[in-house]
Parts: sequence; C-alpha cells; structure tokens
Amino acid sequence: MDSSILNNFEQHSNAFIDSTGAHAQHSENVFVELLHHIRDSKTIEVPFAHFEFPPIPTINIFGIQIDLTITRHVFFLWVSAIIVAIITIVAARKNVKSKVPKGIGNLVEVFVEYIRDEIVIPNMGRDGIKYMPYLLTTFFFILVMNLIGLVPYGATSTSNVSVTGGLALIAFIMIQVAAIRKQGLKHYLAHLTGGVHWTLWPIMIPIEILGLFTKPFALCIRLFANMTGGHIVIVSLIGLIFIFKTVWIAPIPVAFAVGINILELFVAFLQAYIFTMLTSLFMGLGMQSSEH
Amino acid sequence: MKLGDLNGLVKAYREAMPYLAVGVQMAAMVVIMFLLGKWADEKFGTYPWLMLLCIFFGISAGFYHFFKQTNALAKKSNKKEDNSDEIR
Repeated sequence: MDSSILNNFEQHSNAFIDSTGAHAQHSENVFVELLHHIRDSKTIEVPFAHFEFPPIPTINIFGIQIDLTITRHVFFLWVSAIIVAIITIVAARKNVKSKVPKGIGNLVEVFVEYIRDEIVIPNMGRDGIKYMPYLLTTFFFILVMNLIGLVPYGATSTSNVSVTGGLALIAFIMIQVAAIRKQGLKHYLAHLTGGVHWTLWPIMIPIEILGLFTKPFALCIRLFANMTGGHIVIVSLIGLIFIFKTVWIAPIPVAFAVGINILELFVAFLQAYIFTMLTSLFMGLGMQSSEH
Repeated sequence: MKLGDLNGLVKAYREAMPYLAVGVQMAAMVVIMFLLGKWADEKFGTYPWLMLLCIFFGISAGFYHFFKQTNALAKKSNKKEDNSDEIR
C-alpha cells in the first residue's frame, strides 16, 4: 500500500519534472528564435517568404578567411545610403530652385540649420563650417539606418558592431585630420607628449595615444549598445507571450512593446544627434587646444 | 518648423553629454587595456603579469584623461558664459 503510493508520487513528480524541463527548453528555443531577428543573417525577410543572398566564396587575406556574402545589415546599409542620397539631392535641387524652401527641402533644411547653429558653431566655432558635410552625412546616415530598423521587415544596421566600428573609424580619422590641419603636424605631435619633461615621455606618449583611441571606441559602443538594447527589450516583451503560452496575456506585452517602440523612435534621433555632437565636440577640442 | 517640446530635452543632453562621455571613456580605457593585456598574456604565456600591468596602466590613463577632459570642458563652458555676457 505504502509503496504503491510512493511509486505513484514518484511517477507524478517525474512527469512534472519532465514537463517543466521540456517547457523551459521550449520557451528558451522560442527566445533564441526571436533573437535571430536582431542578429545579422544571410537571409532577408519579405512578407510570407525568405530570400537568400547568393553566397560569395570566402577570400583569404594574410591567412584570415573573410566571408564577403551580402548580409541583411549590409543590404539595409546600402538601402539607407541610397535613401539618404536621394532625399538630400532632391532637397538640395528644390532649395536651389525656389528661395522659400517647401516640403522635403524644408524638412532637410531644419536639420541642417539645427546642426550648424546648435552643434557645429558652439563646439568648433566658425572654422568648423568646413567639416559640416562630413557631420551632416554622419547624422543623416545614422538617422536613416536607425529608422529603417523600425520599419516592419527592416533591419537596424547600427545594431551591428562592425557598422558602428566603421563609423567610429571615420570619426577617428576626421578628429585627427581636424586637429592636424588646425595646429600643424608639429604642434599635434607636441601635444601627444602632454607637455612634460622628456624623461616622462615613455609613460606619457602611450597614455595620450590611448586617449585618442578610446574616444571613437566609446562612440562605437554607445551607438551599438543603444540600438541593440532597444530591440532586445522589445523581443523580450513579445517573448513573454510565448513563455506564458497564452494569448490572454498578449495585450500587456504588446502595449509595453508599442511604448518601447515609440521610445526607440526618439532614441533613433537622439543617438544620431549624440554621435554627431560628440564627434564635433572632439574635433573642436582638438582644434581648440592650440590656442592656449 | 521647430523641433518643439523635445528641444528642452535635447538641450539638456547637449549640456550633459560631454560629461557623460567622459565616464564611458574612462571605463573603456580600462576595458581596452585589460583585453590587450589578456591577449598578450595568452600570446607570451606570462599570465597574469602583463594583464595586471596593463590594467594599472589603463586605470592611470583613465584618471589622467578624466581630469584632462573635465578641465578642458570646464574651460570651454566658462568661455561660453563670458561670451554670452558680452553679447548681453
């Protein structure tokens, strides 16, 4: 009698453990499946279908295998580059034709004037105007890349650390170029020594060089983390529906996800603004330091 | 067309962001040097000495740039205030 009850209990508990184990594994799989939407992949999603990019054979550069197959992020990077080119060229042509900007010309002009008056002139002074084309390109490019990720079936290229790394590399070059052009190569190299006695140079020069690299590194990580973070929050909220395995809980995560989406719309603008502003600030600091 | 109510928030970001960036850079310097030291240790098999050396270097460099940059930013904002006074 006793043993039968015990057996029964054992069976039930085993069944319970099995079911919870399977449950946990299943919901984990769903979550991993959802995370694939954030990651880069070689397929592109269109309504009701997948489209695979044709594979390109890997090339070998100095013993490193490089896969040059086009991915989702690369595809949307190109799409956003084309969109930026079309919008700005159309806007420029419109503004040249008529003295009073209208429509898309007006929209672009608002951003351009804002960047000139609120970012470039306060940070870099009048000399900064000649770096406007670079800063404007960065701003519009990052903005469109961020926004294209919020469009259904789109992907955020800026949630790929290679893309933000590339942008930061360009920023790094521009910061150095701005400093060298303003101060001259001699003053630029003199600043790398930190103005200390020559016996301290072996310590000082690596510290100063490290400082040059961390500024763009922080830019790269900031943009990448902000864009990826927002997506992970949305995926986690939607994932709650699959974890609870009921439709009735859906309104709450969906409401939260909509809220986060609106926040992301703001973050898309904010991160483009911050990247541009910090780049111009660092360029300005490099240009300014010759004056003292 | 104005950017509207967001203008105030964006303005606050513009004032605060340079200082927030300083903190991130200080952390980034330590992390970069840590990774570099770890990589060098694996390469030369001297664990943990190069890593420790690099971390100490990263921390000192982080503090140096922290103070250097906050000083530069403070100088800049003082200058800006002087200019705005002149305009008034």
